[in-house]
Amino acid sequence: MNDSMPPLVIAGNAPILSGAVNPSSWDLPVLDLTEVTWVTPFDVAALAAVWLRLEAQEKSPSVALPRDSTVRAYLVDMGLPSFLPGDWGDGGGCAVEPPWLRLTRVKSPDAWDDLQSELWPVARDTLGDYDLTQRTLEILGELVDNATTHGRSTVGTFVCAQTYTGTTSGLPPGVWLGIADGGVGIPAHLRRNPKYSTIARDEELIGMARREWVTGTTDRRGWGLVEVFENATAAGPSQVVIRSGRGQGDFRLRPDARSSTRFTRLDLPVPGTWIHVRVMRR
Amino acid sequence: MARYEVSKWSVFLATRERGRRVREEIEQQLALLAPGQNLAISFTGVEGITVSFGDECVAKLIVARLAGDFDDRGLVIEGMNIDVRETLEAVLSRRKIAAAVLNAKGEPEILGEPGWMHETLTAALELRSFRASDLAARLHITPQAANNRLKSLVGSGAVARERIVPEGGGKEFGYEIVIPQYA
Repeated sequence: MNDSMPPLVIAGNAPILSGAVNPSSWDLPVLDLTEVTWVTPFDVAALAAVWLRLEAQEKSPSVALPRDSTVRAYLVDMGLPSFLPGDWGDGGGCAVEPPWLRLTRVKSPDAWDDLQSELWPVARDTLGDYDLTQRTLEILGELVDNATTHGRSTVGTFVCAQTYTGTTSGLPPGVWLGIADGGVGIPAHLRRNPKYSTIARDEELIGMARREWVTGTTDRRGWGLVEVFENATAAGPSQVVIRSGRGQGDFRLRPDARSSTRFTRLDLPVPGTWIHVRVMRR
Repeated sequence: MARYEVSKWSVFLATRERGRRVREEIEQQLALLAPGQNLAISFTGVEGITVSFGDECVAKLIVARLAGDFDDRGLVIEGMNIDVRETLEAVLSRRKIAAAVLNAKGEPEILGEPGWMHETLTAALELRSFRASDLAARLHITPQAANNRLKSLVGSGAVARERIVPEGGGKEFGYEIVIPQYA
């Protein structure tokens, strides 16, 4: 990798999720987290996927750690140092409660299922509400299933989850999920199906992926994202952001009301699929 | 009655891959049964499943039965909590198929679609061992309609069928309820 290339600067609040980070490439020699002030599970999962993808290509970037000790502590609690190098410290001292699902690298669908006996009681204890636990694990299950099958790669799938009070974000208390893989991405996957092979715009394919029976496989399936949206809507107000290839869909979902959707074309393609889910915690 | 405990895998079942593995084990269990015997798939102790798991595990079992796999032996689902039941109902309804289940009282029911499956099951439970013409007479429908309904009922697992040779010759199927306590 060319050391004269600029660093990949990740700075500010929820830097990747907010879209504030607009690098020229995800393949840069330095991952600069110095000015990060607050991160979401989406940011954490995406960072891990970016770094591991480059490591798999033997192009590991060096990492400049966050200057803010509480952000650093949060990322330690979140488990990012298990994947990114650096002298991160021992964590602690972070005002945010520890995540109920630390950053986990899932290499196969079976590996995710094998976690469920441990994850269920933790989610149940943390989220309190049985219905919310069900919906959250169903959402995670469908998303990780998609990522570890259609988005399978040497990078694996990264997933983490956190409950927030809303003090920092200003949003209602909620459950935030982040899932990122380094696979072919939703648009490229759907184009494997001749029915969708001529659709040029990635954001259009992301919108289609949530419809019944839409799949890139020849199987009669295509229910995973439908279920994700049904559960997120029922637990709403919720937000689902799907970023993959050159497209992004930002879905605002409310029970008993029409959802609003905004599609965006990205200048820099995402290497895989990154998904953010926020559901309200009553 | 043989029983397969899904909870041996986990309290929550998420992926299609796991659904496929569970289904393959169930198929192995079915293969060990004699014609006319029944396998209960128990979800007791399972807190939840995803639609993808349910589709890969249960719906594909029913689809295979509709194509003739293991249709001479029975299959019934039991021990579902409300969430598992709702998810399986959604899975089956989307494919327009049905499964035989035991409700919380241990009574047989049909989960899924189409709607006429419920009265067909009731009639079959009364008849127990019968031919298509018996069902047609009981429900006041044509023999062709009875045959169509029986195909779905065999697929659901509630009824097993075996080829018989009627007195006048030719080919015909005999049907038998294989739900425990009613068989």
